[in-house]
Amino acid sequence: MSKAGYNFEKAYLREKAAKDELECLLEDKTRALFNANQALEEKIELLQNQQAVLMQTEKMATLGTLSAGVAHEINNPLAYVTSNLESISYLKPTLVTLLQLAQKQISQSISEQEVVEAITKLDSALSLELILEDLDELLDDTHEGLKRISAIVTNLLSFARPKNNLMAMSDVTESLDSAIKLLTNQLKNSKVECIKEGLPLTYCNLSAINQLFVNLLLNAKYACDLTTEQYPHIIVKLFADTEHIYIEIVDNGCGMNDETMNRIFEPFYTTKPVGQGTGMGMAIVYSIIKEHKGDIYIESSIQQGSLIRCSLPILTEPDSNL
Amino acid sequence: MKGVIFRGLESLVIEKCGMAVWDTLLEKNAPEDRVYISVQSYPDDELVGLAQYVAVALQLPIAEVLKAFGEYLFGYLLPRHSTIIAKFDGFVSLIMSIDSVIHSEVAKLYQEPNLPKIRCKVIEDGLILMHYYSSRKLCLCAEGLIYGAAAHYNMTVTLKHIECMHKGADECAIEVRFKQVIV
Repeated sequence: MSKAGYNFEKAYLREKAAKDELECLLEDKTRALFNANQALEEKIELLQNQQAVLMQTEKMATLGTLSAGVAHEINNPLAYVTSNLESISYLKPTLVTLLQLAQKQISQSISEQEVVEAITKLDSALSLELILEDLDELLDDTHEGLKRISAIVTNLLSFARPKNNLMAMSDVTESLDSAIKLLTNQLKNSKVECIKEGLPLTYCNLSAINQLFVNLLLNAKYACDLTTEQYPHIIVKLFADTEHIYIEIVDNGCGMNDETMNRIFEPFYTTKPVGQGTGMGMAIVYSIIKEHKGDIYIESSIQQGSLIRCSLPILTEPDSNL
Repeated sequence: MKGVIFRGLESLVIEKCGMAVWDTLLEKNAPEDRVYISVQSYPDDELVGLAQYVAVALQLPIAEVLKAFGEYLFGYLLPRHSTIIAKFDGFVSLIMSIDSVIHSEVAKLYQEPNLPKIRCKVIEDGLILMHYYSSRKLCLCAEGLIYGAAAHYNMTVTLKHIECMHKGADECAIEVRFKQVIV
């Protein structure tokens, strides 16, 4: 081999060694990057699971605060359903006797005269006309009372059940209606005004939006409770433009200072006394809004009240990034 | 096919036949100014073309060239991926973990979507049945890699291709008989 050829090969081998070293370095870095990415993905999954658990825990805590009111809501119809059933039980012997007379009449085991005498006796003991008047009302009221209890339980269950990632084309108004029903007792001493425009359907998680309404309404109610200067007034507005659905909740409560405004979405930050709040309510509202690719805007003045406006983009098709 | 395989072939050809032969091979079978980089992908046809030309240059059947290349490739990859090989305590452990360990490590580095699928079963002491599937049908190269692995662990190995994709089978079945070399 010529000297020029020898030098050329030596140079090639040196360059090849450099290339090998660089490739090894690249592979080491790629492997490290892959492992780091995998660890990150595991952490994200863990965080997502923890967030779901946290949301459910906060729901359960909210249910704790709602329980007394819900019990009262159930107790009210339960009282008159029980009373109506007692009244129906009182009427039962008369009704049974009438049915037995009818059976005997059909089988001709009793004379017409005896039937008339027996009915007259029953009528004098308990006015048959009164029974006829009362029976429909008793049954209708009982039915209505049971329907109310059923609706309360349905709302309670729909709030409590974990329904993560149940996204569907839905009307946000349903979530508001459900939240208002669930909070009937909590809000009974406040003037609650709902101004609802017809909203377009959007791809959303109704259960999560329901939780958003419950949290915002409970906060508004709490703010109103802290001021005695005016009668509690909460206005809920639902409206939309071509691209967004807006949820606005305005209260005339105590308002928030700058520190609370700055920390409002901070997990575990609460202005409530120890043991009364988890500090997760607004953090969860924020995560629900972000989950729906929306935004939240807050205005507040001390002793005048607060306005919370959430805007959710109207999604007509499932967004794979949600 | 990933560049690391081409680089292995380049190394083999230069070592056995010299740089001039490799340059000629490239000129005839690859686009002008082709440079192979391990992490990049290149057309499978280029590798087949290069291997065929090596067979002509060495006056050997292509099957022999692929086997020889596979055996050489194991030695070429060994120093580059010694940490992976260190995970195995011997020949059997390596062969049994090709899919679960080696290919998952390869996927980390190269994001290779066309890795062969390999299933292995120990039939008896000294005999493993390997099933090989790849759309590239490089089973002979796989045989060479097995020979390379056996040499690394100081084993003698006999391979019997009882079913082959080149003969119409859905996947290749290779009997791997091995025993420790007694020094």
